[in-house]
Amino acid sequence: MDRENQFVRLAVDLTPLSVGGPNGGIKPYLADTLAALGHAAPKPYELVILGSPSVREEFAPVVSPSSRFYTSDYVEPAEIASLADCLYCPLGHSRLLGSGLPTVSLIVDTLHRDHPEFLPAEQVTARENRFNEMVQHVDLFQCISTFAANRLVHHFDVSPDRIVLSSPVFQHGEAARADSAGRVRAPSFFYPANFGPHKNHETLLVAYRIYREANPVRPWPLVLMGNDDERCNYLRKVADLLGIGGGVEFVENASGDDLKEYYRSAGCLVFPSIYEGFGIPLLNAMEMGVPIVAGRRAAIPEVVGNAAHYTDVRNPQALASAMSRLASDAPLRERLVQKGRERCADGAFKQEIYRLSDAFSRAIAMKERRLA
Amino acid sequence: MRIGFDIAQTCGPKAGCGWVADCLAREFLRVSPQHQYIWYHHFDSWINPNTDGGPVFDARVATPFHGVSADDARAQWQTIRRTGQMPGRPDVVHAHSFNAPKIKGARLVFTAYDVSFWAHPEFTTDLNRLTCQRGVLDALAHADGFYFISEHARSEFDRMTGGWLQESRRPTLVHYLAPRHAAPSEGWRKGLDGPWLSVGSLEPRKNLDFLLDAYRIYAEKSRIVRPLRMVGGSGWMRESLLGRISRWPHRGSVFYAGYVPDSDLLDEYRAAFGLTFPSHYEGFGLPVLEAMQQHTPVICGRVASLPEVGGDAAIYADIVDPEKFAAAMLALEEDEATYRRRSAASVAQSSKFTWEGLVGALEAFYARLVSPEGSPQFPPPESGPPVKLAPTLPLPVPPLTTFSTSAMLPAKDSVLDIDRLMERIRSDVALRRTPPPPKVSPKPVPRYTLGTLLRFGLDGNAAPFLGSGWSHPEPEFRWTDGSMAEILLTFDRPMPDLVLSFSAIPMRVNETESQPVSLAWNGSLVGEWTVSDSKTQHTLIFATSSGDPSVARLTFRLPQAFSPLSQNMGTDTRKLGLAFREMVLRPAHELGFE
Repeated sequence: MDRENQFVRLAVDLTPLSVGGPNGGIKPYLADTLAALGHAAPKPYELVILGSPSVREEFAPVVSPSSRFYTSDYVEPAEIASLADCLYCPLGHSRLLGSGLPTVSLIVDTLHRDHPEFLPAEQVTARENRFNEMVQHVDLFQCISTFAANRLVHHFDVSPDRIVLSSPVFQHGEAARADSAGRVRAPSFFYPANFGPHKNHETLLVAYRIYREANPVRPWPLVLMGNDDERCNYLRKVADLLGIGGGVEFVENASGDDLKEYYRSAGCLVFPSIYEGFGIPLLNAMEMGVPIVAGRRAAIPEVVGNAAHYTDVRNPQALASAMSRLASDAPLRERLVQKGRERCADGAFKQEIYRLSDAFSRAIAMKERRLA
Repeated sequence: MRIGFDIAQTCGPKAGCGWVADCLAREFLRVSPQHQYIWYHHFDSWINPNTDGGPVFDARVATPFHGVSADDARAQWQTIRRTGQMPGRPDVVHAHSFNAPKIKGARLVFTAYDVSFWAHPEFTTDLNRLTCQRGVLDALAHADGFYFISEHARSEFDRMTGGWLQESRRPTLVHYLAPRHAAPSEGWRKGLDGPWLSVGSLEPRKNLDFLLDAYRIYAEKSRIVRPLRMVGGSGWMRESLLGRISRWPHRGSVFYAGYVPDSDLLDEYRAAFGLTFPSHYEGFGLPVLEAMQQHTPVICGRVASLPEVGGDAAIYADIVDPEKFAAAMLALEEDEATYRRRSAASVAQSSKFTWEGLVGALEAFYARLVSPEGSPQFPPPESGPPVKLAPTLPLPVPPLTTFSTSAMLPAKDSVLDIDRLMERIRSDVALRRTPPPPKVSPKPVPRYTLGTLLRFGLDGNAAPFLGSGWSHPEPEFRWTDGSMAEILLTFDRPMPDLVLSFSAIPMRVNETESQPVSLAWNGSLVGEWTVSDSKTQHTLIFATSSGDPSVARLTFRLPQAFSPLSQNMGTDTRKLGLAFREMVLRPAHELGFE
């Protein structure tokens, strides 16, 4: 078949994606990526998107109108094989791995191997099983940071040839900056992250108490954005217990313009996460001109470079000092914002999409070679 | 008293926490046999594979978990977490394993060894850090009293929780541990040919790489060149340290003896010439005390709790520069008379630490918690943040001359209480996603001239400024109605920093109660009070950059407003919070604020 002038039919398995915010920063990234693939040059993609009805609701407005959605509970792998040329699994695992289609899976991180203590034992086992299955069936892995790629090689002995690096990049560029310019920023510390234990919210709350004790006059409030789950309830109780309940606002995940509004009113992105395969909020913060406090952990330095004020985020006293410093030192904030902006290279997005698109072509070619 | 002890960490090889639990359980039994004891071999999340190895007990001790399998223990603890009922009906339960379950009918005492997992996370694993952090946060919620093994442990705990202990007024006890061994008998004379001793597991906190550096320098310069004996369980630096020790290419010799049983440890202390203990951080530092008890001088850093334990007897050396530490080792070898003096001082210092003292202090602490008068008075965490008196501002505020105090307040309240001024000046907090601009009111918002006293009673002048949430005026005041009451003002010029003062009577069932109230200024929190009387309340409001500076929406939030009907106090169905008498806004600089 001559594919040069044809659409490539790309099946995208979004079945594991949850409604609303539990998946964290990956969803907006996927929306942008899938939208771009519909117009990718030289080969635009015809997307066959599998997922729940809510996935259709969330993604239909952003992807190319030629995309098709399959929302039924179960699609036979064989049926998919007849509908598409290539399978993309942005949530890593997929029950369609055995479909025989050339497959590209996105691996965000290897948390269960690097920090099993942050996960319930049964999740560690489940993730391990899924990883083993992926290593067996997936043709190429997409990683969004060299950190994650290195960990995949380290833990699962995946050959680097099978890894494609394609990262989220700044893409709202000038528009976002123009939006944020000239606004009066009523400062807050902002931390958008679902409440997984590796996100380190407990230490942040203790640090925030220390910060408030040290800055009783006009302390910045702390805005925690995440999925309203059991952990969220627990953290609310911890905040009340620490006597800072009045200063901490828990808000549900927001996206699009609503999310931008939060960044706009943030004086600082406080990002005490212990482990990140990438850390999309870091990108958003740099793009929106928000200075960052973070730890030199996992992929964070790779994403932020010198555009963050680094501290040991496991030590509440150190974290509190960093927060005090950011809140009181406007020239430092300005320097960090400037450095963040310097990292925003416009046009990089197309390149990343090109790399991903190249991964699909390579996977298809690998499959064809195998058949031949 | 029925005293429950968490001895979960005494089953299996014991580290510091396990030893504390072990000794306390045994010493209580020895020193205070009049109590009834319940020992918990499994405790909350600390479940042992088996319960062997704990302290020896007799018929006086109830042991509901002894011999209980891990699976059964887990199931039983699930029930305890659900019901709060501890086996053995204890009056007090003392937790030693960084667990603080919520229990009913007994007081929970939490041993807070140290907060090194926060202060020095680089010295521990993420798993241990998470476990300890969770334990401490649970203790803030559930513990009725905190026991600290040193003053440093207490102050570090308070520092790392931003003064939580002081603010919560949770009862605390600081009391030192004691040596586990018997002192040498009278007339025992220490030999001088022993080795240097190091006691501590092979982990970064113990600074043993540094000790090897210092020892190497010492060995090059010493005329005697004593060997270095290292005693302690393996830790997570085991590999690199053992590698270094096993291939010791320098002068002198280093032996790693591994974990030694308690009785052998006594021999090690007695035989040693000196204890070299360059640890970075300790909650107490038991090896320092135990070495001194056996006439063995100690060289350690002046860090953490160690000066409390070592007193004037220990030799404090630099633990960053190995040359200096080695110099202290060489100096101790120089002269026998000095060594003997140091050794005698060590014994004297160690004799200050006794189990009898600790048991007595803990007994009194338990008794205080258990007695009805001594039961701790603090709000449960669900009831919101504890009320705190913020530091008073540097400049006193002159009395509110515009207030007609005699008409407004009962005589006893007519003197302004400076100490209560400006409680909790906290602004810019919560209540907003993006600061909402003041909504345009359908009726024009009247202009307010700074300094004008607003009176809320029947003949008052406040009515034009009132938004939603107010009841009808009564002779001297006007009640808020609902959980929120608003005041809308415009100013004739951009607002400077202001002091807002108001007087109001709280709605309450009896005199011991109070009404919490917070005030938001254009959506930003500017004040929080717990109003328990009709005293004048104040807060400082900074000229805010959010919203139109010439318009202000003041939102008083009254989360605990209630109707008299709901409390059988009458038929009134209004949801009353505060009865406002008067309010005034004045420029802060007029009151002496810079």
